[in-house]
Amino acid sequence: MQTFDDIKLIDLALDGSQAAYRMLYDKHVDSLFRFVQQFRSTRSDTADLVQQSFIKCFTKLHAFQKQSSFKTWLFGIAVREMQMDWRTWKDRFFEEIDEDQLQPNEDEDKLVTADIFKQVHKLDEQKKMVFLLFAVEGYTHKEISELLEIKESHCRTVLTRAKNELRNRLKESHP
Amino acid sequence: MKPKFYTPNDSPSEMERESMWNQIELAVAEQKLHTLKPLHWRSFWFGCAASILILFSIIGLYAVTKTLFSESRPQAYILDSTYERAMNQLISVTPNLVKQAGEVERPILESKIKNIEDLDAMIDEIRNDMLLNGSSDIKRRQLKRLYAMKMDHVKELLLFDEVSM
Repeated sequence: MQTFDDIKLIDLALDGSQAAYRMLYDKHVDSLFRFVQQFRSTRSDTADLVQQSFIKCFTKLHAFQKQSSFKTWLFGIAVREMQMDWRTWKDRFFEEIDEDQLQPNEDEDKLVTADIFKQVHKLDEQKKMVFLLFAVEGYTHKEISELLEIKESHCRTVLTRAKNELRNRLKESHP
Repeated sequence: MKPKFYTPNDSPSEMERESMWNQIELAVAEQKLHTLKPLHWRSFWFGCAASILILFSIIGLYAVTKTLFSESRPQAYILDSTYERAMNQLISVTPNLVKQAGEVERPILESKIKNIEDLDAMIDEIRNDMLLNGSSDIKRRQLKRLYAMKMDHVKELLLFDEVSM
């Protein structure tokens, strides 16, 4: 959902207010940095990617449609920056999957715990991304599918896979 | 309470935050220098279409106005134009008459042509005055008389060789 503040700040920024750019940056830099940090090995790499994402975002601000939230748009830009490193990750990972093979487990809700967070970093980057966007950042499947440019059903499938993997890892670590 | 996934260490330090901002600020400022206000293509094409429609409307309006005005021109103006056209056609043949004339007749013909030119100047003067200050009965009458005088001269010019023979 678009907040009034962001819309107003974007309008001001487009009118040439440098302070508005700064306020948008201050508002979203922490959450983006924390998110990107989960996929980068060094803080310097994280800072480079966050900086690049903000530059792209601000220089294309006039193209922002205001249909999604500014944060979703910003995260989308950051994700696409990361995808450029992973090259064909979508082709490799988001192939058509038979959802019947992945039935959700009744204990799924209990999976979101501090213990699981420790195991999240062991997931591959794609699963980790979908899981973090859904469970930590609070995006809906629809938003994630728009952000990653994949089908909503694929997003659900990847999340189910991530949860299954986490469940198996937990069973192994806590027999 | 929802457990927190991120640790405080995951957030950027003040120094990292400022360092990133400095680069972003530079890039944004540079972009502002190199780009004008972005062109909104949809508005641009709507503007073009509107301009074309306005152009066609103006042409149509002009054509209609011209037709209406030409149909509603006063009788005096139509007569004036007719006199003018008829006499111009007659005068157009006078150079041939002068060429064909003998040594004796030529000065007489030239004097008549000079008279016609003087009358033309007076006609032009009255017509300009009518255009600038509007028409009146006196001006129309004067103009009609000048045309009549001019016609007399042209008639004399055309019949000159017959008279002299």
